[in-house]
Amino acid sequence: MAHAIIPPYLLARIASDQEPSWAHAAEAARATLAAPRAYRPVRTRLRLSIDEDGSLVAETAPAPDRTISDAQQREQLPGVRVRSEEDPATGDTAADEAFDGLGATFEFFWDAFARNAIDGAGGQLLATVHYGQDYDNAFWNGERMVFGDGDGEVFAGFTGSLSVIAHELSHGVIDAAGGLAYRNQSGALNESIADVFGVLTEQHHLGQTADEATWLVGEGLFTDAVQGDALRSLAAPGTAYDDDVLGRDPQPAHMDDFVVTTDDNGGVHINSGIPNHAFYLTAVTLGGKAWERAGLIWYRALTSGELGTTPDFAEFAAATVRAAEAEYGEGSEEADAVRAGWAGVGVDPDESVVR
Amino acid sequence: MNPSCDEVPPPPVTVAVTRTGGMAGLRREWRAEPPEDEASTWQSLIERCPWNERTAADAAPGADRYQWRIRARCADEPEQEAELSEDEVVGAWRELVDAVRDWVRSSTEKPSPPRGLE
Repeated sequence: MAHAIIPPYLLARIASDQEPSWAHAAEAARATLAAPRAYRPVRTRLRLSIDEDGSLVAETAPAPDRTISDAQQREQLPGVRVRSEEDPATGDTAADEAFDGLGATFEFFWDAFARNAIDGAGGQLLATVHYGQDYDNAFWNGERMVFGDGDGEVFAGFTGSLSVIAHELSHGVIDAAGGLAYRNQSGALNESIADVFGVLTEQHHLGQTADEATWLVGEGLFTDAVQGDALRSLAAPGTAYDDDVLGRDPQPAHMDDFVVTTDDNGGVHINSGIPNHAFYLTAVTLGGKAWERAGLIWYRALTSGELGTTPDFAEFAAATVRAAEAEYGEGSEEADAVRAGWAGVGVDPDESVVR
Repeated sequence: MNPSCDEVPPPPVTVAVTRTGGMAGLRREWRAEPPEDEASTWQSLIERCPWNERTAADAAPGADRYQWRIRARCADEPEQEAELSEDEVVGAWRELVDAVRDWVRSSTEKPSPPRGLE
């Protein structure tokens, strides 16, 4: 039990109460106090800074709680634990990249949205590296992020891109927010939101504005032999790679080009290009740091509790419009930018079913 | 019915494995068409797979997992097809998938294949 509804000091007061009419409550409180508690502290750190008047400011902020494991090229999870929060760098590139990437993603979610870790309550961030042999993938298994080393021909590992690490962690955030069914349009939204938070984490880490950013997911993962920059582009879906062997990036940027398929859980990594581009259009219209307004609106829509698990694009679009209006007002620059963003990809928020 | 390949002359076997999904969303396909002298080995690999024992594929939990489609045909038998989540590609299925990928790799290694054609 990590959290108790009655704090221990209150139980202690009740337990010590001598009032006869409280005898039963006192007995119950003593029994509760005597029961063993699994206590998991939430990590906190002290931040010191100097304000404008030259005064020392001390404030506490939550800190990540990371554990990296090594699958040692097997396909069994979690593998052998190689680095926890207080441990020094391992010297293993993948393990240390995963550790640092989880840290940067934690910083992003806290700084941008005041979200403390995946569960919003300072819970653990778990990752496994060196999964499988020549394993060309990274995934979220519902509990942890898992990274393969790549086959060396197409992919040179998956921990080398912060946007990919943040993408996987974001799948955890999406699950914790209620989840988006991983099929068809709701699955493509799941993928898109993970891409959005993935690129925003990278932009936040680098201090980039919307017009400075690459808007690429997974830049640098391909080996030099592949003709391509990255896995996906939010700025120009369908242009991330065009390779003799891999083919061309299949992502559409508009509903006119929506791909109907049974592969890939109904094209979740394909049609995510449409909401991805809507976010990009919104962010560049607003300018500045994309996580501050566009990102916050998307985050509010995700965590609004209004989505259900199977929203289509129009329903999610409507949720982003409502979030923008709630945060910045009806007719605000932000709400207009969100509407224009969705219009740019052929999605009409007003077509969504009113819930 | 599992396919049988015992007609005379020994018929060709075809096994196609398609992998979609994954974080990269890349579609990969491997196709094995082994010669007659390997047919019985492949027939046994195919027969050991539980083609008829599974219900509709439920996605593995989480996100960015692979989705597999496996098709096998022996001679004039009807083609068999299965759609599997990543967690289901174990045991006989995994042996068949690995065999197809190994077969493609070894058959393309001979004449200096183009990169990535596994």
